[in-house]
Amino acid sequence: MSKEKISTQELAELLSEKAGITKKAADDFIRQLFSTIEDSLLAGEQVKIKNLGTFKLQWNEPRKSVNVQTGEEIILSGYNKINFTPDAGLKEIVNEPYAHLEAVVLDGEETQTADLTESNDTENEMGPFNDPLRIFTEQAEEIKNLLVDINSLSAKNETTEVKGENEAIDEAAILIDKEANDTNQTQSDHIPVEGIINEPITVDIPEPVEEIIEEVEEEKVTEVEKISPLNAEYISTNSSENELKEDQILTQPTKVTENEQETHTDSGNSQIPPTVSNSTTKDPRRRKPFFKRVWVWVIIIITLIITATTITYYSSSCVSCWFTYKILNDNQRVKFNKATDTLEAFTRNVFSVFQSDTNVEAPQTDSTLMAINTPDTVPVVIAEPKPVQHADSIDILLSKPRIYTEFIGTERIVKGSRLARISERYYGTRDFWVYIYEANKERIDNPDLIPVGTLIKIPKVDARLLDAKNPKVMSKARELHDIYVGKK
Amino acid sequence: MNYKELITALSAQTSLSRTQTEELLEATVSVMTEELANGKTIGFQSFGNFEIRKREERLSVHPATQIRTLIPPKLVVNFKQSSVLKEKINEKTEL
Repeated sequence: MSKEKISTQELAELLSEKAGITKKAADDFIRQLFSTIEDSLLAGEQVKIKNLGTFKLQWNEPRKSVNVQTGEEIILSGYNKINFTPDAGLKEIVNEPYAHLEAVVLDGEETQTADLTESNDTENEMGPFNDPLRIFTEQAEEIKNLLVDINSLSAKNETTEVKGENEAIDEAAILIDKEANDTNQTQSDHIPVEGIINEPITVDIPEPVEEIIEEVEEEKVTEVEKISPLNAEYISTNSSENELKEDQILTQPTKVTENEQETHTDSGNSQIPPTVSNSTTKDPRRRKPFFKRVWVWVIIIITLIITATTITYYSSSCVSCWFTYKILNDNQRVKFNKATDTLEAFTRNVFSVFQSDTNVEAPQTDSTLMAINTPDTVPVVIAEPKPVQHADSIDILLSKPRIYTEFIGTERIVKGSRLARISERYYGTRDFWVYIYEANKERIDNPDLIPVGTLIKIPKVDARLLDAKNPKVMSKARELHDIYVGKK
Repeated sequence: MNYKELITALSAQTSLSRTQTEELLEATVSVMTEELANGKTIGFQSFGNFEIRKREERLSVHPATQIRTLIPPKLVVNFKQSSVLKEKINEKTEL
């Protein structure tokens, strides 16, 4: 880039050539032009020239300064200055050599923020799923502690029979722990498991589920009835809540893991919650001798009342459970009838129903929440590792490899051509150059170094993939960008 | 003074028709643009110089988010008035 200076004379020469007038006339014209501008500026007006820019008179205020040699303060008097603002078109033409450059957000900061948002996302996705797990492990710990306390307490004045029960309790505690671990494992195993399940089983499942729930409910009710006579006021709502939560979570992982097996194993499966509830409600039994000695009659009366309330409690929960189940079932039937979903989506669907069912069993605030939410957006509430079922068409579109069959134009690479610039021309955003590259992979070796003269085709890309406002689409394009640019 | 007013004023001074003036002015602008795009400096005596300057790349830090962004270099047109014109302008305002 030469830094030559062109004088008025040289410019006049060029102008005379261009406009087909004599050199003299061109020279005169230029002088006239600038004297006119000058006059106008002196009159305090601004002058605007199309495609060139605007001249303005700008008053610079007097300001204080320091004489460098003496250190004295001096005042620089104010003055007028001609300010020239180039026209947008001129700016662009002049900046052409650097036009392809873009502001770059520097890595250090960016990755940090990106990670942050990413982890937030995953937290959002995993949150509801992790929460019960965390609560569950916490509760398991609590229960274990409780059991240890009870053991030490009961050791003083207990019969051998109770001791035997203690062992059972310990076992149950261990079981709980093991289950906690299992849930963690099965959580990570979710997707593979889904993949393994094949059609006949998934079709079979919904019916057995009904039975299982029935069984579980019945068992629970009988269990409660069995236990409640022994119950003192000791069973606070807290402990019953603990128990319920466990049931809810325990049934969840076991069902998940045993999905692949025969469905009738589930009936054995449903035995687990009662054992656990046994263990948790054992504590009142421990109290039994104390109370029995003195308060036999009082206890009987109280337990009767508690029995009545618990039964109503459970039965009401049963109603809500049945209610949701019915809706879910209907939902499913509709989906069965449609039979348009892919097998994968199908299994997931069944899966989520499974989870929601097990959750509904617990007559907690959760269950009511479930009951409200499950009918329409099942997986969001259950929060599978990925919001699979909810995945709208755009996600499917993004995950599918793109096939380019239609083309909207061709472009010959000239010196200075950039895929990003071409993308900007055709798609409006430079980030979508990846699709042009994908469509021309066999012609382009290196997207940063395309030989001049290469003829590339501009593919017709799904309009949804060119939606610059959709953050998913943009992140996909950037992801591809990273792949293609980092590839070499 | 906008573009049309400028053309009117010019045509009055150069005794050319308005369309001719406009054509000439457009030609002048296009010649100037071309030369500037080639990286040349255009000097008009007793008016000033038009030149291309390169703004170097720089690091900008967003004050609120602390996100650092590398602003690429760019070329801009710069106009520097001649000392003659500056004197003229300031004489007038002082009077």
